[in-house]
Amino acid sequence: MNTLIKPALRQLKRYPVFSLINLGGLAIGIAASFILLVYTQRELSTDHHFRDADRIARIGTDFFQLGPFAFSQPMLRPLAIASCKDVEDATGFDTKSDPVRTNRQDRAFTGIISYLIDSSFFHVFSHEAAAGALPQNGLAPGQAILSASQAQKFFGGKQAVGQTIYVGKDLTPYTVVAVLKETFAKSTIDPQLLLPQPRRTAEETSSWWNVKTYNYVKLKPQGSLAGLNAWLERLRQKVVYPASGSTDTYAQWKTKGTSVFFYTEHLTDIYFHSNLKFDDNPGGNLTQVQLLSAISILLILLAIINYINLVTARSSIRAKEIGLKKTFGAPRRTLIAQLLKESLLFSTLAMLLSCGLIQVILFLYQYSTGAALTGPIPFLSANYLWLILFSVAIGLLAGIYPAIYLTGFRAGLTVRSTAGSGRNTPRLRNSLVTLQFAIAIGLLFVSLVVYSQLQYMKNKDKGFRSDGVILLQDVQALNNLDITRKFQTLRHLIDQQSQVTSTSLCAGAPTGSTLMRGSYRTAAMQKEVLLQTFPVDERYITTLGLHLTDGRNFDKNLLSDTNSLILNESAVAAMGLFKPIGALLNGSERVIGVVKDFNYTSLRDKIGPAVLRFSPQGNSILAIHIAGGHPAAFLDWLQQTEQNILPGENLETSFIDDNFGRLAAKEKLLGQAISFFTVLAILLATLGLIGLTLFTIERRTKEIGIRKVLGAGNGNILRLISGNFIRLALIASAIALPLSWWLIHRWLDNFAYRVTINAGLLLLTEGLILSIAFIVIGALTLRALAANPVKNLRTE
Amino acid sequence: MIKITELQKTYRTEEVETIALNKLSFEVKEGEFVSVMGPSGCGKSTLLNILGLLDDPDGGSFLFNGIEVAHFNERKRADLRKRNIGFVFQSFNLIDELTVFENVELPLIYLGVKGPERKQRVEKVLDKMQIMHRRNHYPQQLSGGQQQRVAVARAVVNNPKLILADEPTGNLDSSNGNEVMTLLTDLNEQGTTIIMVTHSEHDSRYSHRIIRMLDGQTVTENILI
Ligand SMILES: Nc1ncnc2c1ncn2[C@@H]1O[C@H](COP(=O)(O)OP(=O)(O)OP(=O)(O)O)[C@@H](O)[C@H]1O
Ligand SMILES: [Mg+2]
Repeated sequence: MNTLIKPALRQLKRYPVFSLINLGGLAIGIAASFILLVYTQRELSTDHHFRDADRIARIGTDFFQLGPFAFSQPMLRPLAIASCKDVEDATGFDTKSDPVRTNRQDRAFTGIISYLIDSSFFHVFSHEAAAGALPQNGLAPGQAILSASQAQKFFGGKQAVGQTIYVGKDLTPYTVVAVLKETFAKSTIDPQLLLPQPRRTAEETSSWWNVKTYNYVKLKPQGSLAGLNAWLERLRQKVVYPASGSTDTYAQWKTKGTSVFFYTEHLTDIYFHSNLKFDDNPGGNLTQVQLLSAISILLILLAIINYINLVTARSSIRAKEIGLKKTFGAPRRTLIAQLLKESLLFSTLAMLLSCGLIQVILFLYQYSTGAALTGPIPFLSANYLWLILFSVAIGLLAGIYPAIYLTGFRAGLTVRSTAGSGRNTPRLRNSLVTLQFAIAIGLLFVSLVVYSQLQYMKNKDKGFRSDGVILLQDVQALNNLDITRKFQTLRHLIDQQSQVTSTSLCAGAPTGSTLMRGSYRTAAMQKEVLLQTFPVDERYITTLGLHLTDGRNFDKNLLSDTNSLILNESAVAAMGLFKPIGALLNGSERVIGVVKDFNYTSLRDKIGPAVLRFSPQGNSILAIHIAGGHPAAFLDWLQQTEQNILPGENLETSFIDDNFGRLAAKEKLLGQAISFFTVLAILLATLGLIGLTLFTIERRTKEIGIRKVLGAGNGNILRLISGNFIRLALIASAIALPLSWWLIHRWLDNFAYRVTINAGLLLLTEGLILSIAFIVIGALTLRALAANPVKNLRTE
Repeated sequence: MIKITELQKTYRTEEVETIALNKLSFEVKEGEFVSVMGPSGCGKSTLLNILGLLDDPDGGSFLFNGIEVAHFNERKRADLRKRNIGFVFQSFNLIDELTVFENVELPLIYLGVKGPERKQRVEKVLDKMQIMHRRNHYPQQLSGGQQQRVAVARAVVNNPKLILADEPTGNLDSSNGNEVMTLLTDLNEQGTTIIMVTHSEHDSRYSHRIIRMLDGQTVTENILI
């Protein structure tokens, strides 16, 4: 070991900059790609950690073309257990987000999603307890289970088991019987609070149009999704169809929009592939995961290239040592082994360094993007075994070429061989540098495109005012007259605030997830169409800044306007109206205005048709537009006033652009991750370039001196040193730009509204990379030139 | 052509201060062939570097063709140098990555001479040095004597008025050394001024005059002719 470490240390001492660049580069590469590896692994194995995860499936449903929904009918569970031969067990849970108190007098915790579970929940979804014991056959009335993070929030360091929590407005007490163990694994089943499912009501156990339960079944080992589907089909025919009271035949009924449909999917497919509405968890994005794994591979490739380049670059120095050893009779195998060991030692060092760097990079990531990429990577778990294997592999991979290359010289010749051939064109090094440039250029280009797409989405005219609009939501106001009255009072007070320019009561903002479909048909149409409908009052258009392009707004003094509609342009087109104003829909509803298209989903999708329906009463969302852009004071006042008028009531406040932002959250994560790791990749490539340039200058010191003596100016020397690199960078762009252009186009195709990639972006990429290269090479060359060239000659 | 008066050069390192040139004065006329001799470390190479405008003196005056150049900046020195001075070194200082032809061509490139003319001039001088047949070889493929001939060729290709040679035969055996000395004598006869540093009394006999140095000062000047 000593014979290994000593030379290594000597190398470090003799070439400190060189060795540190090499070591640092490798460590950054290992750390960054390890993080991405863990991230993508975690994403890809979402939900795989449940016992028999591949046998778990979810049943969704749809009717009236409202869905398809991720949840379905509460009665499916008992039916499936009783009569589906493919099903071993089934569980159905409802969710709610009641306020929770740990003390009757304390302020409530809000925004907590609780699952109301039945006796099969733990049979289907295996969980472990961090404290207490999990009641495997479900919770008894009055019992509750907390997630580890929720227990921490509620009780801090205190023992949570045995404590009482008070749920909802009527402060129903529950005793905590267990705390779930936290896992690093990601899951779409992510409850913060588990409560027992109350007895199902008669309505719940009889109506096929009552859907709110997330139904999961566990198939028998020999069961299959196809079997489940077949059973559901029989259920439709034998049970649902008779219950619908339809006069159609079953064959007619089963394809109609008014029919009930079922959708099944494997649990392990849900995260990436499910497209159902009211999925509790935002799904993953496979393209994104693929892109980030590609980046992880590119990063490690960069680090390995750096290593190979710097080691072979220094081969002239090592060649002498190796040659001498060969002359004294060391067999080639021994020499290869020696060099491989050195490389392994090196990658082990780099790995140790990267353990620290992983934390640094995660911290920097969170610091620069404001969001965590993964949870903290658990220390000393299987992950770190990966890390060790990973770095051993890298050590071998990075060491094998230099080892074979260096030991390949013929013994006697070695001392002269490097220069003997005259021009020693390092063809491999040139290709590797080109590859490195190509990676940097490709990544930079891709991240610039992603960035501009995100900017574009942020700035695109959505057809409504997206900043300065606050939404105040009161779910209770829908069915409680007293609260409705007080809500009105609150609105009058808000209207009197000087900052507030306009308010509107509506049943849906453009960014809400509320689905309201109305059916519409003109006299000329065979069938009605279902269109997104927004019940609004007469101040909706002003408050949200929609653009009225034709006709007029609703008028609250006109009694007839309760039967009036305002359409967006897409709806006009969908209905095929040439003269929309005055047109009659559904026989009695008159179109009185047209607004410009406004986007009510993500920009991934094309703007759909939408209908505004005059509905001055019974709306539960108050949209408030405030002028100025300093909402803090207003929000404080709002909270105070709210407490006075509607004490105990929990009004949800949100900004409309936040809501829209949430729709774009997935893309945002991708943008952040790509730019962050692109910067790292460019840093790695720059490190490599610094190392190579230093090496080149060192190797050519004498030549630079001679050329200076012979009359070369600094410009000549700069051109000499940078020429080759710049040439390689240009070759690299010729390869990387078209390739990444093609790749990123496929990503952009996912968007209905997307930026066009122009030459400017290409030039920007090229310019950035070339400037970095030129600055690095220029600075190092000028530094070398600042020393008297004659001194260079003297060193000979 | 060259007149230096009370030239001074001091090297300062962290521990020691070395006076390499101590109020050195002498004159070299156009067309002369002068040897500089003296024990190792007496400042010969330092002198040559200053005469060659590669380094600047700390004090004293240096007239080159009647112009005071002691305080020229780097750019002016470089310009004067590449037009007027050629160098020959003990260790040849050829560029390993370039062929014989390309090595000799370099000074002309930096002078801005056009391609065809360059080719013609390089070929002429290679012919004169009798290494034309080696034009496409790399320095490492040549013997020491051949390498030094290439170096001489490179030094004279731009027709300099002055050639500075620092122990041009130091790395050569006697027959190769004599060959190089003959080359230099020929050049001198055609009008080039030569200043040569040497340890060899034999070589010094090719020159007109010997300047003997000790501790940065001239002690004697022998006129040989
Ligand atoms: N860059 C330098 N830094 C410090 N001292 C130097 C430097 N260059 C030369 N010297 C010192 O200046 C003195 C003169 O050096 P110089 O190279 O001119 O000697 P020289 O006469 O050419 O010797 P030699 O015959 O061995 O080539 C020596 O003492 C040397 O150590
Ligand atoms: Mg000397």
